[in-house]
Amino acid sequence: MAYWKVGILIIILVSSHQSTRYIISNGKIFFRSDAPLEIIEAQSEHLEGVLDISTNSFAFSVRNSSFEGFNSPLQQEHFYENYMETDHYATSTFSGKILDPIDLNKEGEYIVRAKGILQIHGVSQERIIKSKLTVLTDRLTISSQFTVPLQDHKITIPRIVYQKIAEEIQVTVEAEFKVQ
Amino acid sequence: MIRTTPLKRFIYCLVLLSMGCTTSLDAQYHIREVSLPENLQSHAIYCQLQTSNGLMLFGTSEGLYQYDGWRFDHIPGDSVLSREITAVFEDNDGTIWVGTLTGAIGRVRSGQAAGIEPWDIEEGHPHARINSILRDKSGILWIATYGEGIYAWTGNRLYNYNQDDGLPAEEIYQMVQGPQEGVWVGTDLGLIHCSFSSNHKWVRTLTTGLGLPDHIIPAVQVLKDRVWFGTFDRGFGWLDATTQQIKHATPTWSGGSIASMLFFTPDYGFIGTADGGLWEMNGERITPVQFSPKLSGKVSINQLWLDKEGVVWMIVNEQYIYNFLPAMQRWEHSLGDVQSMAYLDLDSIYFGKVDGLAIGRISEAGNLQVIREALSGSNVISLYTDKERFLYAGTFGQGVYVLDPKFRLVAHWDESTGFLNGSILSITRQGNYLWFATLAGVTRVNVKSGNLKEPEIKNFTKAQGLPSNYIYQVRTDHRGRLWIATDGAGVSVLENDHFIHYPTAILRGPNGNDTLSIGNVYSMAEDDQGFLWLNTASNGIIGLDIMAPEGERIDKKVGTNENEISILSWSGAHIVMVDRDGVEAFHPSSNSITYFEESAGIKDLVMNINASWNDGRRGVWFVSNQSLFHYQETPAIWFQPMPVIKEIQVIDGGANLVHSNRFGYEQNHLRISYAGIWFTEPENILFSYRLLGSDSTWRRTRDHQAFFLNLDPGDYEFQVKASVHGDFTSSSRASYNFVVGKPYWMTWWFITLMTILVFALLLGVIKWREYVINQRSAMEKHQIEAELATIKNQINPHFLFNSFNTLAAAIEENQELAIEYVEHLSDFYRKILLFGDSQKIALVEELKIVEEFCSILQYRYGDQLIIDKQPMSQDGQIVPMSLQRLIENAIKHNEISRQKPLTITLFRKDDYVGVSNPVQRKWTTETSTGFGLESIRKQYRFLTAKPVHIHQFENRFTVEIPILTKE
Repeated sequence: MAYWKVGILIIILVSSHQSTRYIISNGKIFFRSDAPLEIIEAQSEHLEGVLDISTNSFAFSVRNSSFEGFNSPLQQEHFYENYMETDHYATSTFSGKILDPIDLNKEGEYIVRAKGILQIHGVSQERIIKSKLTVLTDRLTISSQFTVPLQDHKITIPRIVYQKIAEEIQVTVEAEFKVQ
Repeated sequence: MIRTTPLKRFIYCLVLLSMGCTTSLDAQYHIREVSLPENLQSHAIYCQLQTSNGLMLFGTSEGLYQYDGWRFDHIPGDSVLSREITAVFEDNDGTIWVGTLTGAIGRVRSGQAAGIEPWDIEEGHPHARINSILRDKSGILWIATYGEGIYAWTGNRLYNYNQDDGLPAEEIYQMVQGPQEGVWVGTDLGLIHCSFSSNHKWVRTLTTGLGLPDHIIPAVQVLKDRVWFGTFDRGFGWLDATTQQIKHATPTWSGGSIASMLFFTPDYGFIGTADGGLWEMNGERITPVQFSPKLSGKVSINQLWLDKEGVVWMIVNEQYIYNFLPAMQRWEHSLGDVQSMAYLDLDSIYFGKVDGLAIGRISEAGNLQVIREALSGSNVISLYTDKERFLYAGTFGQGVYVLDPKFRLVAHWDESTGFLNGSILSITRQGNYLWFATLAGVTRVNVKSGNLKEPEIKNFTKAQGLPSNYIYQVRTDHRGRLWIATDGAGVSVLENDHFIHYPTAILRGPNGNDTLSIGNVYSMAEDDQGFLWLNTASNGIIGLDIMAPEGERIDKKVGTNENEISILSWSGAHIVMVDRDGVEAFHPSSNSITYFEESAGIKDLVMNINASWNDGRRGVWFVSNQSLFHYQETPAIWFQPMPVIKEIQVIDGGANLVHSNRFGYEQNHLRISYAGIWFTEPENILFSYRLLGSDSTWRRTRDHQAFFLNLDPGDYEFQVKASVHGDFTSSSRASYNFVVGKPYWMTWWFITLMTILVFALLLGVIKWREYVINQRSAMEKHQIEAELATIKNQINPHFLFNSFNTLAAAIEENQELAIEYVEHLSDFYRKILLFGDSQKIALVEELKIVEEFCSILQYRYGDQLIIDKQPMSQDGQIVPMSLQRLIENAIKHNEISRQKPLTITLFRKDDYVGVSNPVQRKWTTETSTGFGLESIRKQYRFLTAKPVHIHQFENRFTVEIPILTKE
């Protein structure tokens, strides 16, 4: 329901002020489920996003069916069909505003906190996500780690695979932004 | 107790006109500055908290400090958390949360000595000044920042409330816990309520459009259902959280911006301003507070709070810490000797003097002003007023003057109007009657009729059942009964027109109930528990249990007779006693006394019994020769010093702090630091401590630490009590249990192990000895057996027979040979006797025996027996007679004939010496005992691990016996 909102937001952001807008040129998202019986890891290189420094707002989006690197094709199928239900919920998004001011004139590393709505599996949760922002002359990089409790997004795990999937998924995002 | 001034000339005069304001003296609270340690002076003090154990915490620019009334202790943290602490909060579990100027958040976990630890959560921490941290009624932890709005921590996730969530401003001045769930905050754009429920953030803003007098709200306080708000320039007001009504309490406010608020009840509290000092709201009146000593210059009251014992604290100009006792307020006066007083309201305060009556008021500015004087020349020793605003002035010898609300004299009652006596010691009202205590009984005046000139008067004396005609005081209790304090006969109560006497108090003694004669009673005060407290002349303060049915009554007695109590009154739950040294507030339910003496700015009180008034609402007024005092009970939880154990140190070279209660046997030198929390009078704290397990006697000290050296292993309990006046009987105590461990050699497991080990060792020794003895006896037995066998063999008749035959033949043929033969024979037997009982024999000796034996045999067998003795080294030892026995064995079992001569070979192979012969079995075998070989083998088993080899190989029988090395 809200992907179109994020889509519109991305469009709005993309079409707004020129010099303050950054878009992802290279983005990766990686997750890890560290359950007692199995470690599941997958990643997607199809992370899209835009960051507008003038309003401190941002939007990230990733297609759920772009995750690869599962232990087996069957596991990938389960991920798509049973847990993420990619037919119904095509994307996961995070959009909002950065709480801490960023000074782009100074190269360096900053810890910034982003407050926004994290939408996974069609369920929105407000989150504050801490990221490391590196300002370079021609680009920005963002690197952050956060946890996603499956319960928060109404992703239910059948009891039988309970020991194979962690209740909290560790997510890592690495993205490089360039001025558009 | 009665002032015995001579009876003066009767002067009847009209009320004098008001003289205007004669004096203007400021209301004063005695203020005390908390002296800061050098490293905190001229540094910012941001915030404060009193922890549940009473210690005061201060967040400063130099970090977090703990204050116990005596000393400041720094609570360490990392480089961020050891500076600029702007918020501090104690959680339900004792965790102390702190927030800093830069937004970092840390905590001190209770029971852990680690100091302030950073609070690390995935979301990171704010980057704006933390102004407040608290937990609301639904368990959510709230963090208010100046610049980033509010954060809510729900236990696993941090949420932010800022402008995007409808918060009008992100600069939060102050945050308080709401009467219901959520928090109230003050901002530049209104008073805001924030809550979090059903996974949703709720924000409700109240601003001027909704009735708020001002949109800038620097201060907030919640008291029961009311949310008090302090504004920037319109004073303060409150919101009723249930009805949602906003009330502006200060339509005409001139005090400037409010910075802090402290309300105790809806009409009593303090208001701190940003640059206009402290204000007090008491009833409907709001007045600036004057302090003694004065605070000069711009006074900004940044923080205002009440501690557990009722002391009000202030952080002033972000740099100083002050406190004062709001219970005790004082105004200096110049009225001279005041004998009696009455109080109607702040505008009508009456003082009875030796020479007249003064009428005073407390002005809007908080000053005591005398506005009128009256009854000039009259010696006014008792005063009474009531809601009808008439004033009754009792004099010494001149009866009663009655003044109307405009201070016009409307009546004068004395002996001429029907009084028994003109000396009026006390006045009270009971319904339509006024009662007067006189030196000749009590007089009742009916004021219902309105005819004050000639009222209905009735006198009560001994004749009507009074126990004495000399009455000091009349009072009514909460049931409207009249009580009479008599001279020498205790008190009496008038019930259904009959006097019931209480001449004695019934006190619980060690052996049942004791009866105490009450005697003279000067004054009475009833508390809210139904006790009537009596100020007696010689028995101290006695509490009569007037609610109990007669017979079940158990009274109480307080204090000693050290100081004569001049005034006895009550305020809420307190009995107020005034003596020369100061004021004592006795709290009957905790049996504790709070003293207001020099620390409250009080000393050398000269008081008259009637110079006090209970306003029935908020407190007790009393007046000394210099000052008017107002005692008002403040909300307090503690009524006596609270001891607290601060730290335990083990002194072992480097003294180290411990948070443990188990010590090793060598950690038996301890230093225990403690404090007594009593900010009312911190300088008078006394301690009494003991160490159960070592010494059970209490030791008194002013020291804040106790040393215990060379403690023996064992269980201990350290107990400490604190008191301000050396009376520890009802003091609460703090205790600390610890164990000094036993050294390992005194532990049960070690002792058990050692016992087992000793027993095992003993058993081993016994077993070994037994074994050796057995071995030895077995060997001896075998040896004897072998010896016996040898002897038996040698004196075997066959052998002897053969030997004698040989000898006989030799004697015939060659006598010399015969003699030689006999010599050989006897030599042989001598050697058997010589070596037969020894364990070992040198191989050389044995070979000699063998030679001897062989030469005997040679006589008999001649060349049919060949002994082939191969050259060998002859060192070492063997079992005696063993070779001889082996040769004998060979001869015994083999045929020796001319056709078949027997060659016996004697040889040595390394450590063995052997006897070998070809097997030439006899046709007739001699019966074998089998003893010979077996006996040799057994004897060797005792002497060496090397076995005896016996083998038959290709028709050769060989026995090899080991050579024993010399020891």
